[in-house]
Amino acid sequence: MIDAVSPQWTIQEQGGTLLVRLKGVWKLMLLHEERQKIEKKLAADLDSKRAIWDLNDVQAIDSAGAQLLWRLWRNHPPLRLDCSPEHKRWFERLDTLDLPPRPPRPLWWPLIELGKFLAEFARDTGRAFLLIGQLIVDLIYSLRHPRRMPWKEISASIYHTGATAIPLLGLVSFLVGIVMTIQLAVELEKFGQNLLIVQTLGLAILRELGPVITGLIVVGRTGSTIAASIASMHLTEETKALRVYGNTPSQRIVLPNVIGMAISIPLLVVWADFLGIVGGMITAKVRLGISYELFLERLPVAVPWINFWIGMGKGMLFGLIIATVASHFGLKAKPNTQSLQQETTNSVVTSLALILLLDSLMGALMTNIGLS
Amino acid sequence: MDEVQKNKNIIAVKKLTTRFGRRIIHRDLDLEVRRGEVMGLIGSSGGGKTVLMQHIMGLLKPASGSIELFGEAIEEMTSEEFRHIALRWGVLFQQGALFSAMTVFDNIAFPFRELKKYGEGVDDETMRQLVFLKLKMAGLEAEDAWKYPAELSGGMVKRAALARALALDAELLFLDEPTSGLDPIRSAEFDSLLLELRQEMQLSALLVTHDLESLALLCDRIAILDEGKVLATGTLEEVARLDHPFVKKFFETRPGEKRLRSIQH
Repeated sequence: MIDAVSPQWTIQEQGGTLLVRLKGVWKLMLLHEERQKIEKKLAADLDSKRAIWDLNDVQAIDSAGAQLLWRLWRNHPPLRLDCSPEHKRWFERLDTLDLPPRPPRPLWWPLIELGKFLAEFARDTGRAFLLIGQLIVDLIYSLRHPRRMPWKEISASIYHTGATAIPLLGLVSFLVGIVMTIQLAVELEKFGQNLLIVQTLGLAILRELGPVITGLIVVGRTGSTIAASIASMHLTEETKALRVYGNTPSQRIVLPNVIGMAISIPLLVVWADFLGIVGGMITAKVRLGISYELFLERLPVAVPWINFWIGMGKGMLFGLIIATVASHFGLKAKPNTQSLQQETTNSVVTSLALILLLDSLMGALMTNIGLS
Repeated sequence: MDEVQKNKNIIAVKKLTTRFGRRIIHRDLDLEVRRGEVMGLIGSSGGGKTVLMQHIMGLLKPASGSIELFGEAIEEMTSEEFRHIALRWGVLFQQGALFSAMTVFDNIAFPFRELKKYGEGVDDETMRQLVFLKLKMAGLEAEDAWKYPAELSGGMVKRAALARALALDAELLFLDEPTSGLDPIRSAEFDSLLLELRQEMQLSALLVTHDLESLALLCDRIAILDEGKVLATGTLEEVARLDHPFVKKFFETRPGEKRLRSIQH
């Protein structure tokens, strides 16, 4: 410290009681080791005798200094205390200090939490249905009044969810195609059924992997963005401003995203299918010696077209789910940072769970379609 | 410059220049705040008051120029030295900037707990007492300690943020529009709280405000920031007499005040 005069004290004995005089600067907040030494030494010097305290020569004292003295006095004002009124304020405050403990959790808090969770879940489900209803109303309204259809926002949504996802999605699908083929090739070679790779890979990618990978990537890229951006619009009161001008968040933000994703995700699925198969085809030639001509000739024969449409349908369904779920959690967020984080996470987790759940349901129900 | 002169200034900004892209915010700006003094900083919106404050706190690096705090140049400090010096000031952000995931108690305890990570700071029981002491000094009830920021009113948020700024007994306070968003009664209360604490804790402060009441009550000197420079510094009387368009507009009696006065008489 610059003008530090270290804390000092002198003690005199006066007929059974001690007179303690303090001097110097008693700013102890940032003096970490010294503070403990001072407290020990002063306590030892006092030897738990009653004392009169003279703080008139103290140049400055901070809350840590005052608190240290207060603790030495065992949380009571000493026999007599001489000090300036400003310094006295510290001790008066400490004397009347309330220290309420952190409110304890009641024993049955798990029950309360469970109840809260269930109530919240029920409310969430209700709200989600309301949102879907609202979307249908908005859609019908917009179709009847095409000028009020949020065309620009739909186009922006297609660009943001679709176009910007192309590089990443392409890379991931290409790599999945390669990895799948490498691993299947080992087994197929054992049975000498090299050509089966066309059928296996084609079915897997068109029916399952294409739409699911697209869904997962869009959830991570766009679902989280939509939830967070709607939630942060609550923080800045933009959602209210929309309402003031006769628009609603569901009309202006949710509907365009739902329509946009229903269009862009099937298109992304086509892209994912394409690169997945290209990846597989290249690997099949290198690993199994299947020429491109043979691969392409076998593909439409071995994998019925219907599988492609199943994949596209799944993609569209996933798009609807991602956009609705993300908007739902974004709209439900409260205007604070903690709620924003929580609802963004909730939206991603719920979308992923719903996508995988629906995918396995459809997989189980449609075993007799498109699988020869 | 001799030692005495150096120690007299708690903040010394010299030839500070800030550029955001092509826009120049500050051009060779100089500002000095003396120890024990409350300096008011006024200027038009978007004139770089908050940016200047962030430079001084070390949150933003200036394009050029030097900043001395407590007589030491912050550009030359190691990060450890800067951490130590930063413990000696407190900041009251415009919106409070309380951590919304924590209770008021945990917010005020935050600086103590950060210190603990370096093996410094105080033991838990002392911390608890000091947190409640600061809460009391900021004019909040002890029960408010267990509330979350979302449950507090605007005035209480400012008070809790002030308690956090003062947690480690700061010597220097940075106040960014402390009374903005409060009603006139609350803001007068907050001003007198600041005045009281200032005397008690011998605080120095840099205060950014548009509130004439705060300026008149709290500030020893006022600096006017205009066109990237400190136009003038001086007491309220001195700067109010300046012949400059911004100053004249700022201190001119507003039509509403005239009407109010005519009603009162």
